[in-house]
Amino acid sequence: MNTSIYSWLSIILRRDLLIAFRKSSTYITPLIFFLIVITFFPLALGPQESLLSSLAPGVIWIAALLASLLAIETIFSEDFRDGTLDDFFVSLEPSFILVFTKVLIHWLITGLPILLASLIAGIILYLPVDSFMPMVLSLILGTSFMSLLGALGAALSLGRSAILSAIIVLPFSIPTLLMGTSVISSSLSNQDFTGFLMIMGAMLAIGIPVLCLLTVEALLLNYE
Amino acid sequence: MNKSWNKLKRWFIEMGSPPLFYRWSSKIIPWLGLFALIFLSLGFYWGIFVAPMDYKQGDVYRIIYIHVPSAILSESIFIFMAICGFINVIWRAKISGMMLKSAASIGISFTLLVLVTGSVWGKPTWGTWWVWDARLTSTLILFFIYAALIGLHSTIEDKTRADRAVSILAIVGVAIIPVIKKSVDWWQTLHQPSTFTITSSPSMSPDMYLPLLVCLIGFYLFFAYMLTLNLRNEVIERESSKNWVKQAIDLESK
Amino acid sequence: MTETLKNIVLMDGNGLFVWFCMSFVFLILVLNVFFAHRRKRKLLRSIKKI
Repeated sequence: MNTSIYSWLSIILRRDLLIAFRKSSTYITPLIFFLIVITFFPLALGPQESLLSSLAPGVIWIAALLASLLAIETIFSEDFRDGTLDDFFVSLEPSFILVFTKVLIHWLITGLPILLASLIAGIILYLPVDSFMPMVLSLILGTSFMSLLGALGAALSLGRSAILSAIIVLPFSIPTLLMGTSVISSSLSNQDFTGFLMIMGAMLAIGIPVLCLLTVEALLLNYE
Repeated sequence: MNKSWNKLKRWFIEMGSPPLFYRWSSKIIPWLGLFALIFLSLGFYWGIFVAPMDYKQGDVYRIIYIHVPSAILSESIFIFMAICGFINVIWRAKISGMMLKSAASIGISFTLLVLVTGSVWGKPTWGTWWVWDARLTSTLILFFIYAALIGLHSTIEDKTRADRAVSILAIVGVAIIPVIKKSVDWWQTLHQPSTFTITSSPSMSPDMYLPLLVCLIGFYLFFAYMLTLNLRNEVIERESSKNWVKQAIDLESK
Repeated sequence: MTETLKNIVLMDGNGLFVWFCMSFVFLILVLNVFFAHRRKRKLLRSIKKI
């Protein structure tokens, strides 16, 4: 069967998006979790504007990391359990596209809602208006990388506890955290933030091929 | 010249077979242990009793004879694990997967050692048990990565599959650790622009430098000894149903 | 003789830190070897039974 890469991509995309958007909780939960975590910081640390706006880059990024880890279980587990993953591999279609599309879906379910919610988070944490653009840009690049890492973590710990995949993914997401917060905090002090964005972009550019390939390798482990 | 090169290649390939490795390692293990003991005792004695006092830190700097070799070892072991992982994933050599697993617990011990000795060194010299400087922070992150690796390996029941999964993680780890170090470095200078070079080691004269080298060699020998010990256990455990294991054990208990 | 011994133990008042580190290293290295030997003994016992 001569399916082009594009049509293979759109088949998986259409199917998974349908499944994901059937239950609105799939994409609402990361968003609400994100906002709840953000809310906890002023509750725990006090509502002073100066404190919150200086902490805002870190708080937003920690909440984004944790919220994007929420949904990584669902990337592969359902398909693994009901045998659809076997069908994907047996069909001999390029597995790289499978993983890439799954990562894209995960980002659409978690990264995109987090992106939208970050605008609210910026307001309630007294983030200055000029820093909103850098924040959104850093979140786009960072949450995509998180989806890549999350896919690898989910593939390695397929069928096991969710916390384990979080423990695997979190240390590797530290550069993203540091770079992302540096983008926002350097824009707070009116410095040039584009350097950090470029590094995050480079990590994403290298990460997409390497991490997707390693995720395929990790998934195939389950079929020894 | 060619003959010895061929001999080396043949030895290398033979070591991939568990029974041959087990037999060869029984001969070498007492020597590794002995030399490790010699170098470590020599190095520590030299460093603690013979080497002169540092003019800035007094006698406390002697913790360096543990701290620096452990730091070097914890990173080398991770690189070693990544190479084993790479060999395991690409060439499916089971013994390198077992080597990875055997090295992991040693690596995390050394990383723990770096953190604890660094913390204890910090109290008398900088007045605090912990400080978020670039080196200690990236070592803490390395500790978590080791823990994730060991945790992942223990949850997967099929040990060959577990080896393969951990190999993938080790490969990603070795790629991202330089990125982590660079970004932690950056983060640290962004948030602490003071010129407080926290991890400045005392300026080293040869009578301080040489015992450090001896300790380093001793630690490397200990790693080799421990690795072989762990690898032998791994080999026995995985191949326990095979005949050669029973023969080898009977041979040993004689 | 006792002067140098005193110097070694006290290490200019920081003796506690240095000796703690030394004993911690010793502990970690010994624990590693100990656990390896214990595992070996367990394996030998289980194999001999079969």
